[in-house]
Amino acid sequence: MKTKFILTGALILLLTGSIYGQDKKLKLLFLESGIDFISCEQPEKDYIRADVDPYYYDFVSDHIRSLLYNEYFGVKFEYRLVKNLLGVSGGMRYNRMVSSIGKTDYWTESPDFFYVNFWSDGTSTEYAKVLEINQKSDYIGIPVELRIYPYKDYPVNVYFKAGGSFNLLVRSQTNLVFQDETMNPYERNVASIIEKPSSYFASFHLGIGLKIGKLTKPGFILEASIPVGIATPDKATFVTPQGGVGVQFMVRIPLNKKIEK
Amino acid sequence: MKKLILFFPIIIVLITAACSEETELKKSVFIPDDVYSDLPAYTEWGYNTFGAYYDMVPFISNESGVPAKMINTGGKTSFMLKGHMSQGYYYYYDYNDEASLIFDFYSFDPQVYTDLISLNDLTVDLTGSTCGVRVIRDTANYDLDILSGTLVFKRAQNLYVDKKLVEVILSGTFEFQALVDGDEPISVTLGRFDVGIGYDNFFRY
Repeated sequence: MKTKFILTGALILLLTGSIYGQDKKLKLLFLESGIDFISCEQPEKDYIRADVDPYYYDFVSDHIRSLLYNEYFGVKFEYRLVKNLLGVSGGMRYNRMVSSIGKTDYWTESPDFFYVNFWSDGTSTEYAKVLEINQKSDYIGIPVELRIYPYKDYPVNVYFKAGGSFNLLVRSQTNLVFQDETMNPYERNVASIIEKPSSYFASFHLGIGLKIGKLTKPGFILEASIPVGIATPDKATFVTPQGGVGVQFMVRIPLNKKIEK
Repeated sequence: MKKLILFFPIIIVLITAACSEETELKKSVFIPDDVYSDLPAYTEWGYNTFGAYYDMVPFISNESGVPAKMINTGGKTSFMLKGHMSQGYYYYYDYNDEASLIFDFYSFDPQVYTDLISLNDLTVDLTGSTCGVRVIRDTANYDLDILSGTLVFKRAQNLYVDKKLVEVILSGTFEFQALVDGDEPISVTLGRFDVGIGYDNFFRY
């Protein structure tokens, strides 16, 4: 599955490149790097002992929060259409998605750990005092984007974009930070109860970009994406993403020197 | 005086060590029942809560006191649930509403709190001759004549935190009808408890 996915991505890149080589439309190569910050639902886990917020008496809260961000780098080709007013791009990217659960009681006197129930039989139960649970998952993805360039080619220019990506899990690792370091040898035991990451995910975004440099010369691009949405096939994931924002930085290399007027 | 100064850091360390016991586990965590929101949900996490309807009035634990004690003395072992009995809230209550429900066992003789594990999956017929039930309200002690009812210890668990045994969690339910002082009939319904019993709330003397 993963091999097929990577081969498909490579084929898309080759086809895109060969198409670009046959006509006089503007073609660009983007080297991209970016990060998306995604807010998450408050975690309600069967394996985490609940806590009550002492300052909000009417609410029961878990005093713990989820964090999710996705950082990536990759390469994209863009093909300009309609007198260079539209740009369609595709490519490949490598994502590292980091999700974590931890305490957020910066303003209260409660401790910074929480209890994780990692083993139980009829008459024995074991908790570990945990400061953080972190899950790092690496995905290979295919981004597809559409850019609208409504203005003339000034050296500094603004444009709009919409895009998405489909990403396939390559590997993942779950780590815990224990309050008591003598628990470190049991990390694998405790991590085994944590949900596995989704085997794939899709992301969608809208955004605005700032292009710096003439169109026929190498330049830079800074894009802000808002909102960014993430969809996963599994409901029982370690964290439950809601929506977020992202930034992307790109180096833009034109592949032809003349623009079709 | 110099000796005192030398001992001072040691005393501080000892006090800190004593305080670093699992105090978080002693807190009450009130998760409301989905249906009977006056009462805590039935749990088995050692949330140190209990609740029941005492003649339709909620009788629940509160966060300011020790909700449960196990007391072995005078030839009996008493399982005491202490809270307040009033319509209202978990956090705000009148101290005049404080009440205790006490189950006495005459044939159970735990030496240490870890012996409570023998209560796992045990149903006690409250009409039996080896147990009794009392209520303390307004500092008055009322013996109940049980008409019918049971106390069920659904689960007793040795709780280990970071591989160290810290307490025994007792979780279960209770329900009964009784006469107060042989006169007024009352009913206690939908009772549930989830409490941790350890060194600080197990007594034998």
